[in-house]
Amino acid sequence: MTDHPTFSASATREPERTSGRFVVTFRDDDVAKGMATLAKRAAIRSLPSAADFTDSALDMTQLSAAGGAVFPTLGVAVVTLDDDALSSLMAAHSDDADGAILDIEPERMFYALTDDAGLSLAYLQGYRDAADNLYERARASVDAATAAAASGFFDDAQSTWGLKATRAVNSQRTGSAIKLAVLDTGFDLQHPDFRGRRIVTASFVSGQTVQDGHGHGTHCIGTSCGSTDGSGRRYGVAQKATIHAGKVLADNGSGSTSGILAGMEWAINSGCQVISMSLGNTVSTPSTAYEKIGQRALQKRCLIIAAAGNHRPGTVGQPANSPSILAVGAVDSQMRLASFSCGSGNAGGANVDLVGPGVAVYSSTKLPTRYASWNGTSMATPHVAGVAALWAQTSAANRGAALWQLLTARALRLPLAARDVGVGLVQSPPT
Amino acid sequence: MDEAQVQSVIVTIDDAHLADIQSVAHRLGAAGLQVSRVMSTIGIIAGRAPASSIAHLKAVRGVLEIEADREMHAFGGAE
Repeated sequence: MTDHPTFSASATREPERTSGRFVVTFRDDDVAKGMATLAKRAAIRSLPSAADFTDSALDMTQLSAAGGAVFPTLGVAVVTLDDDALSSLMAAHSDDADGAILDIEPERMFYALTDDAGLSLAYLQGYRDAADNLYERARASVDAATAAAASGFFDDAQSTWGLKATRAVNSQRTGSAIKLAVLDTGFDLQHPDFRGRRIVTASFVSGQTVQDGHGHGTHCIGTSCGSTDGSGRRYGVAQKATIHAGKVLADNGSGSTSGILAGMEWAINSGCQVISMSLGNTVSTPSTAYEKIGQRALQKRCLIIAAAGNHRPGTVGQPANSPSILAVGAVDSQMRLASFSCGSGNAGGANVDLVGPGVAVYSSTKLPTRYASWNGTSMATPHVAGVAALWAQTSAANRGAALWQLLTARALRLPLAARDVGVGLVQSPPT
Repeated sequence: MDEAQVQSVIVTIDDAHLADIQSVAHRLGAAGLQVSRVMSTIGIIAGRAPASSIAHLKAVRGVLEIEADREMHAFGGAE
């Protein structure tokens, strides 16, 4: 049947021409503007509105009797148009690409759904309303986060500013059943806030146990996996994650790469889904070893997250400058870039991927000090690692590269240079 | 070139030899690497070797790269 066009519009328009009704879709759902155009071009002045009927249940008989109807929620009108009115409206539509009329289609499109699929207009409207509602809620959530970010965050009796900024306090997720490794100066096993927590430990520093003689490791574990302080202020993101405390930095805060790699091997073999490394150097060229390990970890569904570095104006150092390792910069509570936070380097993949709270970060530290507010991309990194654990809890599919993608896709965009903040501020799962 | 100038090195094993990392470790040992740790999951061998032997070690089958064992530091602290 080569003499028949194969696209459906022309083939189906024939029987509809007799009814003469058309679905006019208004641009941006702007009903008032659309109706004004209908009045001007097609002399259509009054149409019943679906909004005036109970539950918007305007039926087809009423629509027929009135010669059409407007559906404010749908942003469309169904109208009867004679040939002149149609021509006039089509002309208006094609003359003004940005006009009030987005599209004009034969009414059949509407009936096809109503008749063939058994979907009533009321049903469709309900569907549309539900979709609108979801969209509005999602937008409101993003708007709220953006607005909150613009006005800044503060520590209060309930929680730290970082947990608010990352919306960890808004999430029901706890990181339960997720294993999160923090490779650092170890952990103060005597800290009272962690009594009863399951903590797996190992030391890769010769001559030193996992016991944190520095405080840095306890601070990072507090942010990523801690809960609340003695007064009830929450400072930890993934409150029920299984903590894997690997000591790879000595009590003086430094460690060899061989010890760090041994810690990474241990964490991956232990089944950790997330590894947090608030450490590095100032070498701007990526290391083959760290890059390969990052790739191999991702293949084993493990995501490695590392601090970008504090040596601004220097750029991201090793190991965070490996393309396969997520690099984390730092912002303060007013959503300004931390003055020390390294920007992206020129080597491929040596960029800041996203940022976390990294200035005046309140968390646990070694006894007897117990708590401290510290600065550093070291403090931003465990925020991201904790949030990664929350996302990992939402689905077993959220591992490795998929988890990376999720973290960057859901980050809150910030009005700061991408070379400094990547895609923006890490955000927790909304539920 | 001072033979006595021994340094700590990180050897990255190529993907093709990951499953056979122990053999690579043996070859490296024969070529002068004092192997301290074989990490089969991440495909890394840590060890010590005279600076003069590095080029020789790099030529060992299964070796992707040899890098110095660099020191790393904690990236945060008090305000």
